Amino acid sequence: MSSDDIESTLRDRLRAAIDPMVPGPNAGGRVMDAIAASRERSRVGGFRIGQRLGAFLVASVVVVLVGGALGLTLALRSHPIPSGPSKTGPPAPAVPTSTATPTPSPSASPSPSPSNGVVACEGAMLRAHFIDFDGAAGSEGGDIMLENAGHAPCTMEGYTNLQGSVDGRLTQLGVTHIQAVLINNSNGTLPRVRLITLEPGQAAYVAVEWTDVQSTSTSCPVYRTLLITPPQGSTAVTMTVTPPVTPPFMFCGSHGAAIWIDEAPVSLTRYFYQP
Amino acid sequence: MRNEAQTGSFEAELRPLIPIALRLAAAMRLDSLDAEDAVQTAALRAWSKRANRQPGTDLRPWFLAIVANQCRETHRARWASVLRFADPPEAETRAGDTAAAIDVVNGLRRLAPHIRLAVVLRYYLDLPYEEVASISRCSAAAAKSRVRRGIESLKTTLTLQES
Repeated sequence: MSSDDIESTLRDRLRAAIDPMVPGPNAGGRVMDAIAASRERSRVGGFRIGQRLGAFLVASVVVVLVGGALGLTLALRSHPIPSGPSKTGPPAPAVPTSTATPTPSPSASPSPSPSNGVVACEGAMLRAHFIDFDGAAGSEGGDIMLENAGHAPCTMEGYTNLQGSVDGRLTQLGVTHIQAVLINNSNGTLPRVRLITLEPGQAAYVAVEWTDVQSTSTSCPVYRTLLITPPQGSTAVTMTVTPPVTPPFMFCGSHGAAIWIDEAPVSLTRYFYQP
Repeated sequence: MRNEAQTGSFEAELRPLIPIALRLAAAMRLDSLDAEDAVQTAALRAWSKRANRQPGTDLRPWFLAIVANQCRETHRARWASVLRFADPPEAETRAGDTAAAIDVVNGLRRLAPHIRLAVVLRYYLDLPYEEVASISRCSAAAAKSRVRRGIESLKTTLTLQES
């Protein structure tokens, strides 16, 4: 067989084998229906609300309901409520809160907060590394590991700020904060905003995923160095990647060249780790 | 914030790409239900990210890259983010389970995902190498190399022999 014959035969056999597995003609309609349903969900009462505003409203309702219930309970009971993990006041994903919501229980909480005398993590307290790099068709990702290099515990809650650095010139990176939705991490860790406390030597993780598909003639910006500011911090920690262990970040989401950078909240669990 | 017209425009632009996305997903997942799930998830993701895409850029490679990525992730995801509807997928009525088709499916299964993607994009979807490269996030030369490697691997399975 000639090379052309081989290609032609391959085409024919692929069609014969795969065409029967292609979803039927109604599948396209169902896909578009899913988009329409998603669009409708984003509207309330005839006007559109953004994802962040929606999350804020939901959080507000939860706070009011939980707060009301706790107030009623405390009024009816003369002894403290048994302690448990505090889940009150989930913050809106786009706006990291500066302090944790005080827990109603006077007993020790398993999640220490700044009110317990633990300070918020600052960039100067941390060491940053990029780990578990993973590449797929069209996107890349991995975890930013933030290790407490100080001698005292510190707290974080929410999302870090990311800046790219080229020759000392800083660029604010536009990111999408992801919470409770699918991110292409490897181990199924569902992104949740939680108050975490880092003991000295302990590390927190931030999943980032970005598109590296260049869809315009404009080159996507490439960074070897990122500046990461902890959620409640005011100073950044510098992280530089070293090829070939980790390639430079080619973000096609920050300058309109293409698509997105997704960021998950800080977590004590590695998002991209695959055992 | 995108207005209604822009939202409608994106959906109108996306709609004709769904059939080719379903074909790509079927070739990558080799399962009809998996393929539809992957495309639905990818479409929702593309829709939610539509504001990040520059007007005037070609939607097809952008969307197919998301579909390809979703196909790779589908087996790893431990939670579903796919909307389910009462209308179930149609039952397969076409007869295609010939021995040759099974050989092809087995041959594709043995290919590494990035090789399979390149072969499928080139020979099943008949896309030009430039677009294969864009979707596969590699250079055109690398895309050609992947396709060549794919053909070499499939030759034995499919008993395709050059004279």
